[in-house]
Amino acid sequence: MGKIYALSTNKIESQLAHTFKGRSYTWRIGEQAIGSGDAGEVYPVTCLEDPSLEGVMKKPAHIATGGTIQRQAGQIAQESLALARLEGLPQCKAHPPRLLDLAPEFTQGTANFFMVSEAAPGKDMASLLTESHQTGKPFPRRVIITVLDALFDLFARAHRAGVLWNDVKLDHIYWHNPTGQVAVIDWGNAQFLGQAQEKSQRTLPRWEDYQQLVDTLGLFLQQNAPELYIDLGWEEFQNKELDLPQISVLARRIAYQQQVIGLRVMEYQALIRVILSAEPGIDGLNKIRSYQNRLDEIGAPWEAKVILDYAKSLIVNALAEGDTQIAIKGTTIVWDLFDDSLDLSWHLLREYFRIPDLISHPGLYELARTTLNENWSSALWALTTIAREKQSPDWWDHIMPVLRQKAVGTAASRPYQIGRALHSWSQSQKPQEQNSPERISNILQNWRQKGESLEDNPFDYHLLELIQAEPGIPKQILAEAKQSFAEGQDAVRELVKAWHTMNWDAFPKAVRNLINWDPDRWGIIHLAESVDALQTWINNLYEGPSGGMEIPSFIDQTIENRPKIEKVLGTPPWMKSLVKMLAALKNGVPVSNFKMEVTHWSPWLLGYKTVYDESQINADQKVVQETLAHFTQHLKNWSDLETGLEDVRRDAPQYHPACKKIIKDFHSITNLNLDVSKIASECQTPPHPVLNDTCQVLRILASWRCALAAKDNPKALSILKKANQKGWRILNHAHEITAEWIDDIQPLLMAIANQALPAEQASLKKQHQRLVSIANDCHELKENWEMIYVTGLNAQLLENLTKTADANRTAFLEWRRSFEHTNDRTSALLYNVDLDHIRRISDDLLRLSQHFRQAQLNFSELREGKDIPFATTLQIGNRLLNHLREVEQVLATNPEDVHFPGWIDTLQSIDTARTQPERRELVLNMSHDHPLYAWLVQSLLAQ
Amino acid sequence: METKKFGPNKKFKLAEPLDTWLSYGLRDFSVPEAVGSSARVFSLDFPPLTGDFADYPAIKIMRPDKIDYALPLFRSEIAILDILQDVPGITPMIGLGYMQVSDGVWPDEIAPLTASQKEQASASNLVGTVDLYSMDETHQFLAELDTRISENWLAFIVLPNRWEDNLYLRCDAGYSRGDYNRTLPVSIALQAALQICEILQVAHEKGIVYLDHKALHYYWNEPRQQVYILDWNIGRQIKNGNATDVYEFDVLQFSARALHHFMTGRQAAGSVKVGPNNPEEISNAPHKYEPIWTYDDQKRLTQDEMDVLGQAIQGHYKTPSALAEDLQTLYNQRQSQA
Repeated sequence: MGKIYALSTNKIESQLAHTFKGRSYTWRIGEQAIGSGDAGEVYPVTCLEDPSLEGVMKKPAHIATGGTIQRQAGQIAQESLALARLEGLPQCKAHPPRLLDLAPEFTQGTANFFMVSEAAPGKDMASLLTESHQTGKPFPRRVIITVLDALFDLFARAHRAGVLWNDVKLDHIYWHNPTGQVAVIDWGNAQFLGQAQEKSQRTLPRWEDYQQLVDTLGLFLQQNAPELYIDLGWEEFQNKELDLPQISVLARRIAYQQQVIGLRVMEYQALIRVILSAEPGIDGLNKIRSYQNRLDEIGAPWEAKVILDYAKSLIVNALAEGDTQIAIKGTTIVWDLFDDSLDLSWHLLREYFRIPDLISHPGLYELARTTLNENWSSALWALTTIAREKQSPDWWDHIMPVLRQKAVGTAASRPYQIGRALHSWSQSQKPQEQNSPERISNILQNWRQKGESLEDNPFDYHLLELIQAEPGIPKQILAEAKQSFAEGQDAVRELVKAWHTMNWDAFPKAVRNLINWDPDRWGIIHLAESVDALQTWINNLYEGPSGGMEIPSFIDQTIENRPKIEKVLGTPPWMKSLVKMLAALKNGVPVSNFKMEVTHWSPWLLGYKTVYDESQINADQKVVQETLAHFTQHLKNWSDLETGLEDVRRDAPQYHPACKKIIKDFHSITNLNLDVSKIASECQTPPHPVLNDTCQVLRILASWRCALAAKDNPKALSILKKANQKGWRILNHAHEITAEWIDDIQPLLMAIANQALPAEQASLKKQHQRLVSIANDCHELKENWEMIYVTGLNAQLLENLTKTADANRTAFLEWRRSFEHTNDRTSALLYNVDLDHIRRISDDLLRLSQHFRQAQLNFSELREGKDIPFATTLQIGNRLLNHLREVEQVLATNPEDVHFPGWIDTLQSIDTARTQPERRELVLNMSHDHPLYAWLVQSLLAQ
Repeated sequence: METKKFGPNKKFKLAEPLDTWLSYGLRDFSVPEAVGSSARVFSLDFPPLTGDFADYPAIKIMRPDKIDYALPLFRSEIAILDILQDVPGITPMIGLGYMQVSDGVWPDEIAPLTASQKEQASASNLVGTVDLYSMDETHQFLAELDTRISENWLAFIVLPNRWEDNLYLRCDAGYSRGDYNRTLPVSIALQAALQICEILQVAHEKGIVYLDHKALHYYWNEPRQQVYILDWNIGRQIKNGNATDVYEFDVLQFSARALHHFMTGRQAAGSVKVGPNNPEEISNAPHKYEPIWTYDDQKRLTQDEMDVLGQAIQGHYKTPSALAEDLQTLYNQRQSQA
């Protein structure tokens, strides 16, 4: 009991030692001072009565001489007076801390005096500057300009309250990034305006704070934001005695720059969003980088995730098209943008792109896609497939373990690693027969090749036998081996189960699990390839002979080419039955003896008595004919195709493979990547006379596809027009869509591309009405644009042009999306045929939208920038004209309509003029139709 | 010609090996692939051939176990060096001769990076006789070559020892630990390549091709900003008139092996790897290489640089001066960016 009491007392004493009683509250101070200096020490404090109230306590330094203590206590008292008078300036853009409490009056002038005020949120500017130097990132302009603007506001309000801060330093100005709040601390040097100072102190003028600001921040600006230094014309104010008009000019310039920066942030964010809404491209990503650099300079936030998604699509699409260099370029830009904040998948992608073996391999697409989608199991599979081909590449051991760890979710040892550990251990042992290092070394050497031929089972793990037979193996190796091989057995069991139940869908997952467990056993990939080959073999057997091959030869070939993977996976009952059936058929046993098996494995044989009897049976049976006619009707109406096919399987099974292929061909006729010649050859010989019409339709559609591939839409249409087969929905639909594309859409696209007025069209689908309105708006935009040449630039005109360009871009994008997400595969096909043209239009609309936006921004900067230096405004003017030149490149159809390059030259010659009279001369002599003529004359007169 | 005895206590002494290690800056690296296929190279302590700053020359001696293979290579190298003797950037021959070893064991190919290795690797225990020829007696030397070899003499050449930074160490991603951006900036790579092209152009004009363009054969003198080349034994004199293909092949080999290595930290995919290469290996090398640009290449090189290098390894440049012209443009671009 006594001990507990003693402990509690100690605790209370230690608490009391850190507790200070103020006039209003009791404060507990933190262990460590957060600052100390000439003016005393600063501690974090918490209010005991109200723990939510926190602040900082300033008190004289605890190790100081009597005189210093007195001076510091005096300064603290002075500061408390200033803070009390300012009361935190709640309406101001920058806040001095509010005074929360003071030490009792009797402590004044002693070491026990203190003051408690609010803590300033965020970081001081000096620390931010150090951080910016350390990270190599520019000091954010948004912070600088907001702070400058806030300080001007603070000075005005503080001076009105009669307080002069008199201590403008970077260390005293705090910036809180999440809220954009500015706080200023350390008012110990404050002076009270209109109040007599102590003898030792000089009475300072009212603009002393401004003077200190100009001098203190001048060097900072010059070094960290030189263009802002120039834009603000800071030099004009430095090393001069300021007066009220000068302060007022500087304040206006700062306010203007703040507006400009705000506008720019909005603008760049909008421009990035415009790019993000378009199709991913390397130019787009480059532009995002350049806009992003500007936003970084400004210090504005940006949408990282959306940009990463954009980059990801770009890279994956580029790799799908085989353009590895674009993918790598894209990745370099992503790294420039995000650097180390990127996650593992991007780190891995960068590593892939460092390895020539991987860059030049066709499997890179799969590897990169699965990695970026964080499908680790598939990524490991793709990597292993490449490694197996390259044979022991040097990159294997540094990339594979990362992927494996992600795929299995643990860093459990690989069997091969366990083997290596065992090898190292055995080398340190006396030579014994069982664990001889040579034997283990031999196992390790053959590890990857094991299973490369099916004679050699990839699941034979001699290492396991060796471990089980050797009693002296270290416990750690034994435990790892037990755990690892138990996992391996599960994976093998899963695979064998899929094999026995012929569950092909479960196979890929099962073999991937095996590779996840032992990625060094490349024979597993060979096994997976053998299973694929077996599936193809079964499928070929199901479809029957092609290309005029005779049935006996086909059966012989089938038997001969059977992938023999039973050695590895065993012979399941279904395989036994299949092999038996083939052997019997080869020996001339009647097909009817194996009716059930034949129906399952090769139904086309049901039409024959034996494989040596070429004459088909039952082909003219009524039920067969009716079933096939019924199937044709389904195709014709394009309805319930599966039902039609199921009927064939039931009532005319010998035609099921052929009908299945026909349906597949019909479905694939609108595929973007289609082997037309394959379809054309497949439908040359109808399997049954009832299917003649069906095959003819398929041939017509194949010819239509050929004409589309040659971009000969009229020929494609005429092929469909000539078709005699009536009532085929698929033909009619192809005809309708092709005609619509030629008659309605292409003329509208042409009109949009040329900004021409679209021709009147009587009946248009609602979806295409949108194109008419885009074409009209494009034409109107061009007409409005031409007004610039007549009336010059004005805000209203530029705003209208920007709005129209933006609306056109968005509307066109929506129209494109309607095709990109359509369920109508024929429409999607025709859209893709014209995709190059459509992309060009999109690019032009994007350029118009971007450059009009930028031009509008520059124009508003020019209009607002009355007080800014002339050289700066000339640069803005130059930027404005350059953006309009880009617009002109899109809109001007004739060379004589091109004016902006000449106007830009004129402006540059004015900019580079050496003297003011020379400049004046150039302005006065310039052509009056120059869009900036009026503004230039006005600016010169104002000077 | 003067006959001398050599050995530990003689005026003419063989010392540490120079073909098992290389240096870059103040660091020495063991480089097993530096060993030649036809010769061993040692430091030579022989005052008349020692430089002004006590810098020992190198002596390149025919491998006694590969006489038949080495003989034509030595003949070729001596003849070439005789022709190119005064070309800037060439490591000139400063002596040549024959040697007969009467006692001692040839040392293993060990880099002398520790005291014990130094002892094991040194040829100082070799004792025998040398017949030393002056540079004016080169023709006489060549005339006697076959006879001398049949009489169990070994031919040797004395060359200045290259103390400069070996460009292989500065550019190879393996030796520079992937930091070749810093160890060999692109501007230096371009400057060195330009100078090599100039040397090659002179050689071609004199009817000589180099062919063995591994980065290991080039040294960069940082203070003088000058490249030096050595080892011409796989090079040959073209004596059958119009042999444009061989000259073009020389430019291609330079592009795929050396230039690509300087620019990207690795040789072009499919080119002959750095090692003790023999003439057949090089003459059987592909006549075209597909450019593969990695992430680091795209970060390090500009598009123009990748384009020029890509064209070079595909055999676009027919003469060293044509390649030099484009390299000069790239170099100027780099300088203006800097």
